[in-house]
Amino acid sequence: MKNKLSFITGVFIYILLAMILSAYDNKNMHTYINDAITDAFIQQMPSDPLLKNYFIQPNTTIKGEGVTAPGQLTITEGTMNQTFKEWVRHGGYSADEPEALQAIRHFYDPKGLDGGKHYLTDFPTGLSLVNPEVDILSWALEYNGAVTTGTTGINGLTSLNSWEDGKTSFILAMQETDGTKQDKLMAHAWRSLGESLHALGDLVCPVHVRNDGHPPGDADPLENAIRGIGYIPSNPQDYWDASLINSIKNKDSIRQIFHSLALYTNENFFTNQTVYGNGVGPIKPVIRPSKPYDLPYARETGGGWEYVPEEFTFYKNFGNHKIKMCKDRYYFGGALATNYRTASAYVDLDVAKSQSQVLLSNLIGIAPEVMKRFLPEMTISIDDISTGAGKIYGSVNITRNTEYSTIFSYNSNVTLWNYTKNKSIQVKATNGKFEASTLSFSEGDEIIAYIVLGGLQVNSEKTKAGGSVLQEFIKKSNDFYMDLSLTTATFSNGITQGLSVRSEDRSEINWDAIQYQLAAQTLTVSKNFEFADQWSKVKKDHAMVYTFSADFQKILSAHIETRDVYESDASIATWTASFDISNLPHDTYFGSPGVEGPLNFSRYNIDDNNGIRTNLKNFKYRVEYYWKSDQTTTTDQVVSIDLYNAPLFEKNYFWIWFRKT
Amino acid sequence: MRWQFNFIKLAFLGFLTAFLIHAIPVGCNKDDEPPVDDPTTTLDLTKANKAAEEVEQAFASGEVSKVLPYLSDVAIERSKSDLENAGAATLQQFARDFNNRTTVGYGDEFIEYQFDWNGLPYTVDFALQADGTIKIIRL
Repeated sequence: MKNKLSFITGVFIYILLAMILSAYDNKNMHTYINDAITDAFIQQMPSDPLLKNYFIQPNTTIKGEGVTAPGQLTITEGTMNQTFKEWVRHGGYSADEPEALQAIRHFYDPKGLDGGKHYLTDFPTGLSLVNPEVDILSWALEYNGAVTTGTTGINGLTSLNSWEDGKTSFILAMQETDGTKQDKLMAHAWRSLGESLHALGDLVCPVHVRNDGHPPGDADPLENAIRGIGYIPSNPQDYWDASLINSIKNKDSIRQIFHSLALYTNENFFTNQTVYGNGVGPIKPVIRPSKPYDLPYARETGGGWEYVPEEFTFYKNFGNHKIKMCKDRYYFGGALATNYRTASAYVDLDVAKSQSQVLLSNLIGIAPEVMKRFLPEMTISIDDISTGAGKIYGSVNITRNTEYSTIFSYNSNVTLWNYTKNKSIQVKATNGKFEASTLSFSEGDEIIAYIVLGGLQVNSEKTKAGGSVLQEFIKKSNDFYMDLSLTTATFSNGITQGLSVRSEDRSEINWDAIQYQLAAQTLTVSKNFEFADQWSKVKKDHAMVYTFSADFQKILSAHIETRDVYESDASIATWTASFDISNLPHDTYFGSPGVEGPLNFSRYNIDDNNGIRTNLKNFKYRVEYYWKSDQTTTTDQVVSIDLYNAPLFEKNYFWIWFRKT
Repeated sequence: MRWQFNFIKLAFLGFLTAFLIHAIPVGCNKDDEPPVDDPTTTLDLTKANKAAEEVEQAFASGEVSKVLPYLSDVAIERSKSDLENAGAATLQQFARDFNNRTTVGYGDEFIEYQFDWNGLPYTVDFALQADGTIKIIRL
């Protein structure tokens, strides 16, 4: 007798554990769902402005830690070598491991119907498990350590692969140059993303958001039997609610996205045990009949509801689709009393399939946004390529956003690829900046810089290698300081004196508008400034055209016109100047075109020693005073300049400092 | 001490036996039903179909008392009085109708059958119970 008892006990333990194992099993469905989400995400990447330079390398595998042996209470993890998609898929599976312990953490009641509690309180008895009292949003999203409930005691478990944990690994991977370590971090990041998507998938399963523990013995059709790849809609856009999706996608935080989706499912769909409404009689839910969820409320007509008596089915409109919500046909209902209808309306597999079309379609519509938010917002840029210096300067720029609000920079490998010659080198970025001098390239070659993190590749735009460093700098400059100083100018009033014609840069004057247009070798500039205070008004209008040599080593010609007007209570003074100057040699270059700084400049200079005497032409300089008191005008203008007899230690010169401000 | 060791040893043997039985591949559905999307479910289909057969026989007896053991607690709560009021002829008619069942779909602990009733499919749901049996959860 004792032997029999022992044997039966063993059998019973197995059955109980097998049921726990399968009670919330949805691992196949979750892996299908994660695959479908990944496919949808990859399909959307090229049309998303923020992701158009992101690519998933389909065949790149990375090694990391995954679940190698599942279990209901304990699991075994080991090294796995998988692609991005496979790691995300694995997360869909591993989120349920160990299955018995994870399953009871995978509930979230957005309405907190039971005393404001969001975790599962309809906790199945007989499982011999302790309620961890933690909901799936906290479990799946928060940092390891942020969640304390359910982490200790007999069924304690620690969340190691949450959304936040995955993001942390992503950031660490961006600082890691050791390939093996970086792969391991990225594998964890992708697995954690997959586990988060599993959680999101649970939120379109009504039992998980309607506090329905669906205990052993009363399995839910949707939870249990909607599990094949065939249930993933092939054209989800036919069923999804675009306004819902846009509304949820625009939520500020990932938690709000999860909550909103849970609320949508909660308020629009039944589980078999939580049908509520009015049909042949009041329809009361099996669980909490005296305290049902107010929504949805089944009815025969109105509010988008329709009861089709020929099918004994309650339908509800979702967009252009009529979705089956519950049925009330009953074999033993009795023809006379109820016409074979029951007040115990139910969800069967037919209804579950109908509901899942909308639920899974909306999931596929929303989830790519979740994947997108998991990725740090990065742009790779090549700031300068000059054939003259043979150097490439670039940067990996990270934009802070809601998900990645901390300041961090990229400190790992960057590949520079001469796309034209199909040669590449790898360099290391420091604080997001990188430079290289060992990639051979010629003018016109197209260069791409990219980084790869666990099979995710982020590219820069293709950038053409330019000419000299001077050319690159002029291309990037947006302002200049110009000064023509003459030592000996004779005015029409007979006075001989020095003068200057200047156009300051932004650091000295706050120009209202600078139009700065470089086309091929011709730079056309218009600078305008207006200022007024209680004492005076100032207005400056400067216009110039510079033509550079092909290598930008010389300004071949320049035409400059300036007009400065100063108005006070007594007078209006107007200075106008114009001149042509040619063959200005390059003088000095200071700085790095890839790095913006206040000291960066490139200067062209011509003076008495290198040609100003013969290259300054058509110089005109005029001063006009209008005296308001007697409304008279006096004018004075330069009638001649002497470029050969500058005083000792002085000289005539023209220089122009190009700047990037 | 020795008794405890024997108990554990036999319990383990029982556990192992149950596992081996569970692990034997099964998959014969009644009446060549259409292929199911996911063949990886752990549900013991042979056992489920056998339970359905027994349910059919119980209804064919026309005796409610023979039907009730095949109903889960939830189903008893919902349908016991209706079955008692239905009469033997209705129960037997149900058995005849149920005999023409096909499988709609199933998961690890759930299986749904359907049959034609007055030109419309009528579904009956079964689920795995805590004691390992498979019973009706909705008629």
